[in-house]
Amino acid sequence: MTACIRYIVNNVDDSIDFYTRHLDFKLEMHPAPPFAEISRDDLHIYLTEAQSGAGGGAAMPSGERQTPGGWNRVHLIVDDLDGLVARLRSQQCTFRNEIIQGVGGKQILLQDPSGNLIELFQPNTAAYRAPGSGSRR
Amino acid sequence: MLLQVSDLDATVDALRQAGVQFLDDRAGGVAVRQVLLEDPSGNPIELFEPATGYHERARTTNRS
Repeated sequence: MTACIRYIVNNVDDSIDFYTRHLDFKLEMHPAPPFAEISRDDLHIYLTEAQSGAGGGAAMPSGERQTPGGWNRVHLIVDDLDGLVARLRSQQCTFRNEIIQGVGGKQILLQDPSGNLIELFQPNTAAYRAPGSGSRR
Repeated sequence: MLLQVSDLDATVDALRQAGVQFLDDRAGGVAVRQVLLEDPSGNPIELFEPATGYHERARTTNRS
């Protein structure tokens, strides 16, 4: 079964353009205006507009509408963080912070057009363990 | 995060009995049925049950 994340976005077309143009995602399907699936290797994201009807973007029974943003994010591993960040800056992409060095690597927080975060991460220390490397299966 | 389940109603019942809080347990949706539960920090986790053949139909008939 494919792992999948849903991101709530303000406009699906803007989001498809952002993820496919800047981050090498490919469009899997776009069966209706408020919904699309994009993928990058094993990572699949459902882009969904908040809406009043039924579906993944529906308001809660309390009436609360779903909104983009927050601090949870997908984690994208990249080869050349400095080069990618320079290219994205030249294309007017927006970052939430600057590149920081952590225990396993360096990272920065990129924002999509709705303010959802994408963490760009380049492993660069001996302490780094790739996702799945702890699995015993 | 979306977690696909084969029997949404039974899963929801079991989780509710275990004390899990739901943001939306109405199991609505278009071609899939879905609910939203909360993790201990309030992060939403979506459980969904697709109708038979949903993924295949979506990929082959509506690509744009």
